Amino acid sequence: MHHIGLGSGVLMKLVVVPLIWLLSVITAHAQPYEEPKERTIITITGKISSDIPDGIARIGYDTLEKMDVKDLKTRTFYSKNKYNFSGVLMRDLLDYVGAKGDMLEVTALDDYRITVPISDYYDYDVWLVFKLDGKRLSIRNRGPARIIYPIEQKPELNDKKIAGRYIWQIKGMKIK
Amino acid sequence: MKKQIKWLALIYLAAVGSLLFLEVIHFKKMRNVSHQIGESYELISGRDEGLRLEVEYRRFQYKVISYVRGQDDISHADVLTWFDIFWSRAYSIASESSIPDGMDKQEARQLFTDMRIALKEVDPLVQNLKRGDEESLAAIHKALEAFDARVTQLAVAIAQTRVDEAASLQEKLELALQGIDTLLISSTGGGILVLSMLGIEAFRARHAERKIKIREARVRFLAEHDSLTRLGNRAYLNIKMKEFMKEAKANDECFHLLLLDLDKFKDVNDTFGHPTGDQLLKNAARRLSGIFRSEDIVVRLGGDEFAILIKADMANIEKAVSRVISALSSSFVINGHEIHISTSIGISTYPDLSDTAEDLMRDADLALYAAKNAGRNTWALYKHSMSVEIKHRMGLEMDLRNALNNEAGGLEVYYQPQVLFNDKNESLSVIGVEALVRWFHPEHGTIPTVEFIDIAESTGIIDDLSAWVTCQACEDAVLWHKAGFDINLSVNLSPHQLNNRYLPDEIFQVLRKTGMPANKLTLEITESAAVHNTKAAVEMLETLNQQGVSLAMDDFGTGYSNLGYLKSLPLDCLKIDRSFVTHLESNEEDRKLVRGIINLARGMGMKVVAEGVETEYQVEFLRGLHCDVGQGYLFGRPMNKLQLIAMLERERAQQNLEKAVTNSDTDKAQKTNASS
Repeated sequence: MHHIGLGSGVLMKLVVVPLIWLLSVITAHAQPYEEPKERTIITITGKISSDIPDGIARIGYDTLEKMDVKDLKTRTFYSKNKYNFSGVLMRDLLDYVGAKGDMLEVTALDDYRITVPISDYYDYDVWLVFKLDGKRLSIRNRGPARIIYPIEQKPELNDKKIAGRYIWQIKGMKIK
Repeated sequence: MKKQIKWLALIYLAAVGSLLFLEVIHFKKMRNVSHQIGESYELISGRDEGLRLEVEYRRFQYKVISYVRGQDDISHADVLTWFDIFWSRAYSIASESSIPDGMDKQEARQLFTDMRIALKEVDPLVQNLKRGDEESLAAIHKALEAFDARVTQLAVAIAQTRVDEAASLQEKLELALQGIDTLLISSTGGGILVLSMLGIEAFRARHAERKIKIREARVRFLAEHDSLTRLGNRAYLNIKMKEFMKEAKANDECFHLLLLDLDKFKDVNDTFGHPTGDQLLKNAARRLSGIFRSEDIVVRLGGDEFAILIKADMANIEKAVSRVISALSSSFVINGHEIHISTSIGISTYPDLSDTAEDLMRDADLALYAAKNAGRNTWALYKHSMSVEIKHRMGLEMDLRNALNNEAGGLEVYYQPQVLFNDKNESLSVIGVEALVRWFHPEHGTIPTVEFIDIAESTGIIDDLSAWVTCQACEDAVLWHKAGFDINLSVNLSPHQLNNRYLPDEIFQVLRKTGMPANKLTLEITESAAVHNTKAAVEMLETLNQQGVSLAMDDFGTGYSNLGYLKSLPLDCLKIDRSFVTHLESNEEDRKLVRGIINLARGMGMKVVAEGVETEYQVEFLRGLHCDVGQGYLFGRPMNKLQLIAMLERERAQQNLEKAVTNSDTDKAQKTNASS
């Protein structure tokens, strides 16, 4: 913004500032799908927006970084210790690809697969985390991305059935 | 019945209760099972890290070998990825309760620890692995080789655990299915029981309701129907009339009210008794119902009055009415009697002529009255002009009824003298009177006798009127007898009275009450077709005659009775009608007729009374034929009892004077004889 404004203050005030404001409004509400610039870590297929070429949405780290990334200090179902995760809400990711289905099939690197009702992601703040202590999750740390339920905020999620909906080392999603 | 239902209901309730209890128990069981099924997901799917550890261990080894030996296009990056996956598995597994029940925990934990140490050892080798580096491959293989059997053992233990868990889950599921079966059966049973109980109750309620409805309908029927004829009654007519009016208003239609009564019905009751009268009403009602359509309303208002509500045009009404008249004037045979009646019908129309229920009734009544005046056995449609004329007549009828019970009503008995023609000295002497009724109406003045007798006859007051006249006249006659005037009393009988089988008793009662001797009373009857049962009439007259009451045939010659009928009656006297007497002087035919009548009467042993004698010529003519008695203006107009007694007194004084004169003549003659 500052770079654009240099040398033409009036133009900046009259035209560029509102334009940028407008842009920011648009991106905040409906970030359009873009092919990732970095390596793809997750591919999303199935019932997604028809605007996405070939019906395959590719999600890279840059894609996730552009979204509303939040820090999240929580324990997981499988540990007593708290971790400093960062990630995006699952529903933001689903909105990003224009998901229209009821169920989500998630596949891990070793082809382990689970199916989760998408309503979970709208009823609760379920996170797709991809950073731990500010660093990207390695495969050894169950990266590149994993799903975390907010069990500390919603005690009812502290359930064995929900435990089955945790998954890490995510490489693909399919909306059904 | 009620008690049985109570017991049945109790048994039902108990059965439903126990089924509910059963359901609750099974429901609890099911809840338990469903909870366990929820956990079984965890049992089966959750603890699979051990299996995945084995799979990833073998996959990694395959990738490493393939990479070093240049098979299957495996890159170093692939090797690293799978090493990391295997690594993360080895580290994550210990933190979870992934050790199967059938395995020694200590042993398992040792395995995980050893594996992590081995992984750290081989990590640099893996990171720096090059294609064709058989040495490093051998080192990696050697470091991990020791886990082969242990990882497999872990996987087998987990698999066995899974089999066991699957078996126990199946058992639980089967139990659950059994529970579901029980639940289904018991709830079906309960449902059937409850439904059947509801059904029984609904059936009972309907039954009870129907009974009540039937009872209500019966009560309503009784309230709205006449028990004798089964036709609707006045209340029913009022209900239906309202409905008809509502409908007519809505559809802009008209309808008619027919009001009819049976002429001479009272005579039937009097002659044949009430049971016969009732039977006649029943039969008449049946004939009436047969004429009208089911949508027409035929009701009996009471007595011999019927009403019909009918929607039809005037042409059809006329047709229906003619059928009614002809149906009711055909003879009825009841208890062996052949009975003839007739009917008069009054018709009013809604809304053209009368637009309220009251008006409809009143106007139909006026029309009925008009029909009766028009000679009965006919009908009349109400016209506005009827009101005035008929109201006057109805007013007179009411006044006449009042007058019979009230001296100020203006009714009075008048008497016309009957005179014996004396052959010897040409003098005339009153031997009897004919009682005639007069009505001096307090408001309207003298009402012509013809008019009010007509009213009395058409309204059935005639019996009461005749009885009243007879009673008054007898009282008067007794007074005259006491005064020394030994005169005969003639009273007119209405033909209607001959239908009253209690007539002789009534007459005898009057005689007893007044002290009138029967042999001083003459009843004058007319030749009339109005007598229903001539045989009964003849019997009554004979009864009266046997007790000394004389009978005279009034207005003889004007009627049409045959000689046989005449002969059958126990008559003592014929009264020659005034129409023959009036023209005796001018008309040879009448002279022949009168001569004939007198001869006939003498031949049958009857006395003759000539009516309407007004001239000396007539007296001479009648005397010449040996006619005994005359009545007419020449001897005296009808007069009240005071005038009559005055006349009788005058006559007696005259006779006394004449007697005295005769006596003195005789004395003179005797004296003359004696002197000669």
